[in-house]
This record gives sequence, C-alpha cells and structure tokens, in this order.
Amino acid sequence: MITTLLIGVPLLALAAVVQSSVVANFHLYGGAVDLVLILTLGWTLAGDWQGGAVWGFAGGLFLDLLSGGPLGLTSLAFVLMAYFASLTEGRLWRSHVLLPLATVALGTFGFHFISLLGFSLLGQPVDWGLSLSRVTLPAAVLNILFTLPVYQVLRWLHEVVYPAPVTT
Amino acid sequence: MSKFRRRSILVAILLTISAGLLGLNQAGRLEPVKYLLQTPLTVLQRSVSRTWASVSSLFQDNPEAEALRQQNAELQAQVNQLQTRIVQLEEDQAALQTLSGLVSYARTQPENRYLAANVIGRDPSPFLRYILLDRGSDDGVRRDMPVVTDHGLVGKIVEVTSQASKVQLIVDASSAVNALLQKSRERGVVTGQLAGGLVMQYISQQVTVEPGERVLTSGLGGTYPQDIVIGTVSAVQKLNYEVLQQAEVIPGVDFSRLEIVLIIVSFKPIDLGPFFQNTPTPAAP
Repeated sequence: MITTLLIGVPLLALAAVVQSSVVANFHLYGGAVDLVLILTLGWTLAGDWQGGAVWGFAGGLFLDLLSGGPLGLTSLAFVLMAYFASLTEGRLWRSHVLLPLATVALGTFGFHFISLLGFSLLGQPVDWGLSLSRVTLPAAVLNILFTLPVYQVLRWLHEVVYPAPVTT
Repeated sequence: MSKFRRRSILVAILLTISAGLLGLNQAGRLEPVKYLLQTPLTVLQRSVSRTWASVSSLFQDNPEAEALRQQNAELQAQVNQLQTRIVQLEEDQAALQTLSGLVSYARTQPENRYLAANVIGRDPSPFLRYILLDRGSDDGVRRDMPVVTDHGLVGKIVEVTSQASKVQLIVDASSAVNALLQKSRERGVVTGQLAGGLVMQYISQQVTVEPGERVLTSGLGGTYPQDIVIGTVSAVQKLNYEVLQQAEVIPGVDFSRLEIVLIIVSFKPIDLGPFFQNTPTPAAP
C-alpha cells in the first residue's frame, strides 16, 4: 500500500494540475478528458484492486482542491467508481480488451452523475439533460480515446512495481 | 479476512472520510486545511502552466514574451478605464434624455486600481466555471474583489491563498449578477448557464428589450461596481402568460481565451448580510 501511495500521490497531483492547466483548454462540446479518473480506473484494472480506491480518494481530493466545487465530492465519486471497477477481479472476461474501455465509459457516467447529484443536493442549479448530453457524453468519448494508451502504461508500471510471482 | 471484505472495509472508510470532508467543507471548517494543501499544488500549477504557455506559444503565429504580456495588461487597464468613462457618459446622456432630475447625484466613483493576473488553471470539473489566478493575498488580493478584462466582467474572487486565488466566472451556473439594460433602464439578474452563456432574468413584461442592447452591472447589492459591461442581448424570451420575461445574453468576455485578467483591488464590496439576518420578533402582548 505504501508503494501505491508513493507512486500515486505525486502522479495524481501532477495529473490533476495538468487536467486543470492543460487538458481543460481542450473541449469537445462541454466535455473534457478526465485524466485522473482514467488513471484511477486504469490502476484498479491493472491489478491493484485496493490501491485503486486509494488513488481515487487522493486524485479526487487534488481535483477538489483545484476546483470551485465542494471538497470531498470528487473523492467520494472516484472511490465508488474504483470500487465498482475492482469487482471485475477474478472474472473470466477480465483480460478482454474492451473491459477498460467499458469501465471508463461507465465510470465517466457514474462520476458525472454523482457530481451532478452532489451539486443538486447542495443547492446548485443543475440541468440534467444538458449536462449529460453536452458534457458527459463527449467526455466519455474523449476518455475512451485516452484509455488504451494510459492503461498500457499503467499495466507496465504495475508489473514493474508488483512483479507477478514466478511459478515453476 | 477475505480480500473482498478487506477491500470493502477500506472503501467504506474512504467514503466515510470523503463524506466527512464534504460535511466539514459545507460548514466552512476546512478553509485552513484547504489553504495549506492548495499552496504546494499552486506552486506545481504555476510551473506546469508556464511550461504549457511556452509550449503552446510555439504554435502561435505571434508569440509574445511574458513581460510584454504583463505590460500589455497594464495598458489594457487604461483602455478599460477609458471605456468605463465612455459607459458613464452614455449613462449620463440617457439620464438627461429622460429629463430625470434624479440623476443629478454626484457620481463620484473613485478611480479603480487594477492588478493584472495570469490565468494558471481552469476548473477541472466540466460542470463548474472557475479559474485560478497567479495572484494571492501576498499581492493584496481579497475575497469578493471583482475581476474584469477590457471586454467586460469576468467574475469575482471566491478563494485566496498566499500566492493564488480562485475566481467564480459569471457563466458559472451558481453565479448571479445584478444587471441593468442600458437603453431601457430595466433591472434584472444575470445568471450563468451550463452551456457557457448567460440569461438575464426577472425583466418586466412592460419593457421592450431588443437584441443588441448592452447589459451592464447595476451595482445593486454592493457585490460589483456599477456600469461594467456584462454582454449584449442576443434573444428575448417573452411569453404573454408569464409575469416576467428573460433575455439571452452573449458575454462580452470570451471565457475560453482568458489568459490575463484584471482584479479591481480598490473595490470594497458592501456586506448586506446583517440586513437579512433573522431578527427576533417581539412577543405579542
């Protein structure tokens, strides 16, 4: 777990800053790439089933600190999404190439839904139809495009950090 | 203990902490912690932002040096002041045309003092419209100071650390600015929309609002100085069976291209909170 934190905290802090300073300038309609979400779900699917939730918590916290939204809301959403992604552990179809893509697509919808629900409960005006069509859908498409390269890097990183035991 | 159970417990703990943070944040108890945690992030963000600015400038036709950009911003401040004067003159002219003696009040609005600031980040949430500036309390920035460009109102400072500050843009869905239609003199409230536009609400049905009419800050509420350009009316939604009408407003500022903004450091917002606090009602005799 300490190794997960040592890798995750600086990486996620940098990713959150890059998401705020660079990625946020590139939009498809209202949606942008959720870099930290992709990293969280990718790390979970790479095999660190518990660490993914910790990454989600830390990454969400960094994003909340850079955002005007309430502190804790993104963390909560990311931890839940990482937990759902971790439920694929041990499934036969776990190694299917579509799994990370489907997980990130569903994770994007889940994350945006929880964010909107949170804003709504905290009294902020929310246009559900417009938000889901103009922001979430394009964001899901962009996230899917970025998932495979990021996932490959994370799998490699996971194998370096947690090499699989050699069986004879 | 099984792996699944251990994971579930960890997730439950993290969710509880997140929910706790949310609760404390809503109660306003996390400001010192946020201040502490934001400072190192801001330092990282400054360097990433600078690197990105220099990289992106390679792809621009006319790359400008940082010093020139700052100098340009100061000159823009002067332009902004002149534009404010033009708006004031137009306001005076409109007032004379209505032969209203009420406009003889002394418009002794003090000259604004500006502080130029670079935009170093945008809100990572696609549902919120905030930006981060590289000026903080060390530079004299305080909460609720208005932020403008030469094109009009940008928003107001909502959070300040020693070296950075967070601005809520007027296009944020929870932003509301008391506004005034320049020609018809009708007041209303301009609110942000998720799609990035603005809507002016609570306009009386008796007034004829036309596309192209300029929308200014009214100064009501003491949150913003008056007569700052917000945008221009693009369409009017008037339904006969409704008491009020509303107008779509195109912001004067292009929020997707914000790089340098001006903070009005001389403006002191008026706290009207005490007037709206519940006062104990006297007991009936």
